[in-house]
Amino acid sequence: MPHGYHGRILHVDLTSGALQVEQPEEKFYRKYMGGSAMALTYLLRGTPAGVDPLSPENVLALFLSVVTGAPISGQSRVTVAAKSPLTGCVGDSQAGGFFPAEMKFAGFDGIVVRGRAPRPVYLWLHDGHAELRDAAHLWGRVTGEVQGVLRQELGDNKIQVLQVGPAGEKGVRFAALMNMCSRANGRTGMGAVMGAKNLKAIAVRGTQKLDIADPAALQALARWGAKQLPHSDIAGLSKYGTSEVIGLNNADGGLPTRNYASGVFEGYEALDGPTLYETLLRGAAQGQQERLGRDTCYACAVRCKRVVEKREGPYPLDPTYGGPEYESLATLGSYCGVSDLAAVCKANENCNKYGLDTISCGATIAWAMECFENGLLTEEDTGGLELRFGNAEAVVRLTEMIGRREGFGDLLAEGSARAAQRLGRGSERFLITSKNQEAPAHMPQVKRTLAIIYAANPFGADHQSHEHDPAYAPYPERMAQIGLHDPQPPLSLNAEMVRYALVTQYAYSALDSLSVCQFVYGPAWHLYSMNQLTEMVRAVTGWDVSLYEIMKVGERRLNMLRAFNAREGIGREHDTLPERFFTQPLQGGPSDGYVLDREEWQRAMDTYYAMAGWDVQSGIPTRPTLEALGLGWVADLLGL
Amino acid sequence: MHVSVHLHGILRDRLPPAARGRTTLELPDAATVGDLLATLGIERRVIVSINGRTHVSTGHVLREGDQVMIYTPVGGG
Repeated sequence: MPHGYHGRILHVDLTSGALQVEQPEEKFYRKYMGGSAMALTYLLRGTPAGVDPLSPENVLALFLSVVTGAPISGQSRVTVAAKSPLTGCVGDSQAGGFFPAEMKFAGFDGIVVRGRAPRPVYLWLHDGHAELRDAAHLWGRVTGEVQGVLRQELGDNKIQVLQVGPAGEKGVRFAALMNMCSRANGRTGMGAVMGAKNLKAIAVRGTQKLDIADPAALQALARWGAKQLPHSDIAGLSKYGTSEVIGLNNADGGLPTRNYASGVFEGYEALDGPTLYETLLRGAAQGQQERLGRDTCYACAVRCKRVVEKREGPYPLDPTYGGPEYESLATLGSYCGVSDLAAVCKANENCNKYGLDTISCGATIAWAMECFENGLLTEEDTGGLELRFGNAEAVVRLTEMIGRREGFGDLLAEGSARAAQRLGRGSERFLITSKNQEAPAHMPQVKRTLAIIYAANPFGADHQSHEHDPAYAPYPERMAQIGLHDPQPPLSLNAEMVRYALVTQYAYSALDSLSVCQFVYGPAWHLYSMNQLTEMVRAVTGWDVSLYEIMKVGERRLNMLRAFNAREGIGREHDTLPERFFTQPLQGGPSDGYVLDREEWQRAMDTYYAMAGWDVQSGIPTRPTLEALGLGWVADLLGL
Repeated sequence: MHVSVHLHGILRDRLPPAARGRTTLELPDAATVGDLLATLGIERRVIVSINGRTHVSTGHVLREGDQVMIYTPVGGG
């Protein structure tokens, strides 16, 4: 076995039931390294242009990387990619947990799924073996039940399950894939793609531990990280989870409130990490939340995942479904004007139970609330729900209705952009979407390079695709590792900030190809720097790899994403932002009056395409740019 | 002079839990943001906001009654 990976990729044809193992050469692994970059090679080669995302012909690719399963923090992550039913563009989403490492131990680096099973099935991978099994008894059931049934019938409690919930079965366009019932490949509707294939779940278990090239070097790095953690800038993420970011973003005037009308929320403190820690975290009543309320991914010392529990009251909380991340607290909370923490946790639980992306779900409900407030929707439309901002009960109820495509939930299950198209009545003006994907809870009006990335990102508005503005100045040594030396004043959107956006986008793109956690590795506040990431990859694989090489993987992946869209006829004209960002100044707090300048943004976009080596008019990668990355085959596919 | 200080996230742990991250500090006249951070023993990288103006430099001179917020530049979630 090579160091760090198996050299085995499983191909599943659900229509015929055929399973085949491909064994690519080492240079394929070195060139793409795994995750999103590797998945995209199969999407580009295997997906017919113009394919219906919910048809059997859409290729679904799940990939680990050459470091997944190594005994160090932040390496257990999986990418899922396919053409998206939400955006019509390339879809791409990452998740952590124990599933990714366990899939590696089961003997596979990636899975490429084609076709559609005649009846519901699940895929069972164990110690190098793969088989399709009947899933009729799992269909229609929520994630917690399915995980329990599969562990029982396969006779092993250590089995990890990645699955679609009822939302994915019913084609909710922002359906997620869930593992551990609490980790989501949430964005871009990958759950709907897997559901449309009648593939209910992938269960994995294995004992094939990795062969690490330099165990001593890896152990030294792992020990350094564990020792450094309490003194690091992710100490807060470790103790409070990402929920800590509620208070940080509110202080910065960047907490989306009432559908992005404001960047400050009067009820923020009720949703903030420390409040969650003191009240609803499992074990809080006994002061045992450190032991019971924190969860982790395989081999990770950070333990940033939350577990909530509540037995009484209108919103009892089941710890099976984990707890909310920052994005979930913000989109189901402040985005909807809701400050009832238990209700927001319940809405998050419903999303995990039915398999919904919390970001698109919360933002779609917020859009509907603004429509209701402005008389574009009435109680007749909503089935009696008084959909005003702040109505916590309505948010909880709607998460279930969307998950089941029931009543008014059926309209919202289409995502806000399609729902607005169907509703009409001028409701498009309240959309907070780019490429039909709802914007996450980091505000471009406050952190200006998000205005480039939300627009240009090939799979729609995304907050985990580059480094945010406030991190440039405080980390000069780490930024220098990737050639960034010249931080600009806050709110700048000049050429240097465009360069910052693009270079850090390459870095984040590399992280998603190495399938590592973007809190543990990165160019700024992260536990490990980009140079330390390089050391880690060297120790695991034994390759004499450089940071240059890793950054090139990131650039390669970004160009492949962009190329996939180009083949679908999607280019610069689709790189848009919600109109509100240019026309409606934020209200209140430190960001009062903030609004984007359209001309400045358009200049920044021109600069961005030019710096990326893409055609400035069309936003499409050029042949020389693709060839410079060793992607001549992609230029051929595009007919450039 | 007196300034009101509101610490966010992990920085809250520097104060007793009941304070919920809030305190009032007495500082010498013409004390700077850097002096305030030193008084609080904060050595990590932070963002400072004063009276709603964010990203204030460490050399900024404080005034009586200033409302100071201190938080870390963590950007994901």
